Amino acid sequence: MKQVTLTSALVMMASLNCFAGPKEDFITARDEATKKNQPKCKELKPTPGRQGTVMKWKTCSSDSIELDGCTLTCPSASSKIGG
Amino acid sequence: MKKLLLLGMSSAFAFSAWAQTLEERVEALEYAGYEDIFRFSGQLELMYATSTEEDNEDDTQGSGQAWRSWLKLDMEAKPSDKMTFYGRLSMAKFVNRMSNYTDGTLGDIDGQLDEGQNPKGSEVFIERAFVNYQASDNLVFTMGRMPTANGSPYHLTRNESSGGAYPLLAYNAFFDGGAVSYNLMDSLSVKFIYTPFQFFMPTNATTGQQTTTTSGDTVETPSDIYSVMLDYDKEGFSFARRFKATFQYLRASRLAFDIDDTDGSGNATQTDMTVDISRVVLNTEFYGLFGSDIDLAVQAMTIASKTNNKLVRQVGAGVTNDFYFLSDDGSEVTGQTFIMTARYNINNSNKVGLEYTTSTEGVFSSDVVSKTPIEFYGLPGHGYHVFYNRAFEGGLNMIVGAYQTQRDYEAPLADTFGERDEADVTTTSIYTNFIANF
Repeated sequence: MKQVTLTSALVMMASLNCFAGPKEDFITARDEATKKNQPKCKELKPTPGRQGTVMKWKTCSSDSIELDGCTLTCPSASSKIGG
Repeated sequence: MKKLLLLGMSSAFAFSAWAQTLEERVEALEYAGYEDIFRFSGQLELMYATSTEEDNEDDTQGSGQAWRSWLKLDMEAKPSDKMTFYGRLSMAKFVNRMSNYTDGTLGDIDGQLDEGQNPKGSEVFIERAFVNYQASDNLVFTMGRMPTANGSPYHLTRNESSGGAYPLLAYNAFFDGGAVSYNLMDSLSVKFIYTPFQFFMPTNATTGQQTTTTSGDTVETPSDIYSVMLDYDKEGFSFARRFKATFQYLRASRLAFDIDDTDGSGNATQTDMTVDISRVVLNTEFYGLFGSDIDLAVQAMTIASKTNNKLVRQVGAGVTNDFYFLSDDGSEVTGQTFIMTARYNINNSNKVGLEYTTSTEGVFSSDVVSKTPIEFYGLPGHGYHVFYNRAFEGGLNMIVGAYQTQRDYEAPLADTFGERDEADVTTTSIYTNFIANF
């Protein structure tokens, strides 16, 4: 029974990963920035809503945005040769 | 006990029904997500600029002012994991222009006030339309009208993200063509880009009827233009939070020119020549320089232009003189341009910057679609640009800035070919831009 429960939980987690959304992208960007000389970024929390940190980062049109002392590179919406 | 059992069963059925509904709803959302392959965004821009030009040799002066407007509607479609389409519909205009575009006369009194509603034509301008096809993890094919204009460092002055285009000094124009991109490693990619120019009568492309010059010579087609780019982009350095570098080699063969111009003294200038150009550009961008709030971009370009036949000048009827620096077997003109752009990020909303450019003679400026109110990048001489960006809450940006340029040379064709003269022209411009991103 425990095995079945564990397997189900793992499958659910894997399924959730398949649907990585803006929040997951934000956490990845934050963790990358933390690894790359920005320890302050570790404390940056993904906050919900249109004015939350996730959407502020996701919709920024500049090259970078500073959120609570952490500078994140904006996800470029511009189209590029070669993607 | 029975009641308890009944309640338990009811709860179980209710939970099952709820769970099924939730599952169905998630499934519906998933399919809706798959169907929703198209995304729109855009930018509306209004610019007011005044400018003054002083010719210090002739001691003459002229000034002007203009309202300009641009609209860009960006489209992105991802019909599959392998393919992405990008498109952009554009409008670029002088606001409420009431005079004839070509000669400034008041010929078309309606101006542009009825455009878009009254029947005139079916024109919609496509600034870009191309697909990226991901052939493998590292290999991408691109074809269409590509984003080759408004490249670095232009985005820094506008508080925008890098457009991934050619560096500004490589070519600032929209090119149709194809490209192959290969990711050599996570931060480094190489791109081969082919964008031929064609010269023939559009009505007779199949039989190959070609364009002829003023003197009756046939222009060879196509003119091969190809480019190799190395792109590097990585974060986390001790000297910068993010470092970008682009090296580009661009080669254009047999670019044809044909000008038949008569000056005020009745002297006719006729050119009938093709040019091969080789351009090498190195662009570097440093974001968060040494842990500070300063961003810096440095770009350098060198160009060699070789003429394949001579440029002639006819003085009066039947008299032909060669220009002094061109010979029958072709000659080479070289030039260099340098741009440095520095920006201080006061905070997310306020940024100030300074830009400096200098060019030698013979730079063959390729700044075709520049949005600067006066000629700046690639002008044979030098120039300064100061700017202030203010980002308001909700997607509205404002830019206030000023340009000053000093032209030191001039030549009849692309400021590179023909009899070059020294010049002493100072141009200044002050502008305000409002940009709405949506």
